[in-house]
Amino acid sequence: MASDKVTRLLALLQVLLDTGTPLTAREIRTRVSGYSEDLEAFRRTFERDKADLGEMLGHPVRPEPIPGTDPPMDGYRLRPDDAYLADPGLTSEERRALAVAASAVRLAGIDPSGGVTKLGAGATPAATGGSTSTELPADEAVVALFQAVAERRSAEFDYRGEARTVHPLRLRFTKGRWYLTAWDTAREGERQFRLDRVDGDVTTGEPAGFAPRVVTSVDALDEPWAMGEGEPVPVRVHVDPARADAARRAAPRAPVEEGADGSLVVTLATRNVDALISFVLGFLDEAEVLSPPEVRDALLARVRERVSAAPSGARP
Amino acid sequence: MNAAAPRETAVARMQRVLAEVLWIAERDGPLLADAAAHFGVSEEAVSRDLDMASMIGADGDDYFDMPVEMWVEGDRVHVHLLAFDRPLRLTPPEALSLVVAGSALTGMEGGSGALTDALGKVASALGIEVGEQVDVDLGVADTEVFATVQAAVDQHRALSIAHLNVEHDTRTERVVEPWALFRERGDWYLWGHCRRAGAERQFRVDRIVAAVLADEVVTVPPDLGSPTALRTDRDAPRMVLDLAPEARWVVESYPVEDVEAGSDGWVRVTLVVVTRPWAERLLLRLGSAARIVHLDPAIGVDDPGAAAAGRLLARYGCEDRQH
Repeated sequence: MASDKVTRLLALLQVLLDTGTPLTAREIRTRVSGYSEDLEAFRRTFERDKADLGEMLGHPVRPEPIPGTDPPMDGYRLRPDDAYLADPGLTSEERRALAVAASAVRLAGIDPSGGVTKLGAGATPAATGGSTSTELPADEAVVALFQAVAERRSAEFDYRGEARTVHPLRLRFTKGRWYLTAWDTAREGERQFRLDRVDGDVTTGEPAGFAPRVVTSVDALDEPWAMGEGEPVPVRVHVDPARADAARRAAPRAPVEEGADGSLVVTLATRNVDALISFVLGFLDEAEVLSPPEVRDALLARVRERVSAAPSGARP
Repeated sequence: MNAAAPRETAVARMQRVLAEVLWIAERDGPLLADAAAHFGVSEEAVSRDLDMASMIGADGDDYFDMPVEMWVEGDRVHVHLLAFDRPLRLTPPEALSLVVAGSALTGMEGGSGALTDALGKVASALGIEVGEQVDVDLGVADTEVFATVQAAVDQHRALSIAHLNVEHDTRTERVVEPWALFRERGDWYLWGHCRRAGAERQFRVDRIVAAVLADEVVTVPPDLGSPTALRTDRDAPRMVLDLAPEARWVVESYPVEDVEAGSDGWVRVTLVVVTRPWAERLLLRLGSAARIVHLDPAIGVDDPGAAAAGRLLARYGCEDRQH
């Protein structure tokens, strides 16, 4: 029974790939053996088979109009690109490496064996030693936005209580979370989104829905002070010798002037003053904002907030 | 496939059949036994799959060919394909899981080798640029250090490390008997017995700046519990804070032991205090969005944030410093 179904699915795939013009359901029934003579039973089986093929290929097998039919009729076919991957041409060693990787790094809730099998990598080997076996969080939003990035589909979702329409450009996993950098069409600028803060479903548009575009903004994850609107303000920060290395590591791209005593003055191109203040406060009293005065004042205002915060034992 | 294996779905079997014919077709008459071993099934199973594939199209109309031609020569099998001669399209979850696994681990291999090449080929077949469009960082700062630490854990060998303590800004050299490597909150930790401390310790791998593998083989306790980065903090001091709604990020960013909802969106949390400078930094950043409810005496009696604020105001030459 089960092997009958596999035979039938293989034959259906072959027929849909082989045909130039879409085939009606009736034509498919005559060309693929194993379908019931009973029309109702055939319909049910055919719908299930289409769903199975769609699941396997990652997109539904949709009806399309058959050219030259009058009255117009719908039929089915698969173009090679709908069914096949451009052959990656992997060597056996490369396939194995990929299979090992797929078993060591998994996405929560996603079975990696399907992709590994399609690429001919064979049985998934056991994770090596287990010491690096890890599972990353993943949900439907991550998968949908990955596809959107890969195929240039626009995406819509709710974020911080606002509906967003974006062109997804870059998906990044770091510090245990997924982030999306995208062109926000309403705001006409690049924005970064934390995917665990996306509310509800992500809907995506058709492939090639926007022109290719390279991410130009600085990643907020690397330089939080640089993310925001408008022209950046150069903020000069003096860092004591003891923390000079830490400052260099945290802002590797910032221009640096070195003092004779090993201290530094870094100039941070700042759009988000709050983020800059948080960064500088991380050095406690071993760093000081030199200029501009308004940023210095804003930092001191934050510091005074703590001085006047309710003392120990207070309740909200 | 053993008897306990879950029943294979029709889709999974179909995918295997197509993968098998493609694999055999790409080779010059491989041994049936090799094909079976590659796909992790019995030779009988491969034979049944090939029989099935070779019958595709057999009973349709005769204006299309049977796409899979198969013949056997001794213990070798041959396949010639008129269709199904490319891998099937990957679904988005399949593509994502391969790209993520590949790009997460290529860095660890030292940037060379089969995985890098494989990832490059798969990515170009999918039309994506790894790094530019998809970037996965498992929190491994120095891949060489990581590989050494991993080897020490796998081979149960003692490990000399140089470890940076970011809180105290100190660098220490230690010999560690490694037990396990694990990931938590996006960071990797080495867990083991530290000879310098004479006790169990965990070290964030991205703060290990050098690692040297020793020849000495060490024993790993047989009854290791599950590792957690919070474990070493069992005896660390605690701080109870009331946090304003805008300070909720603290709950997601730090090891929080207890969260209790209060009124007006405020929450009361118990935090493990790593060091006093850590508490100073956190409270300073929180400003008036945090109120101290309770402070473990080990941290001090005053508000660490206010104390740090005082020092900062002094540094900036402000007149209004208090305390």
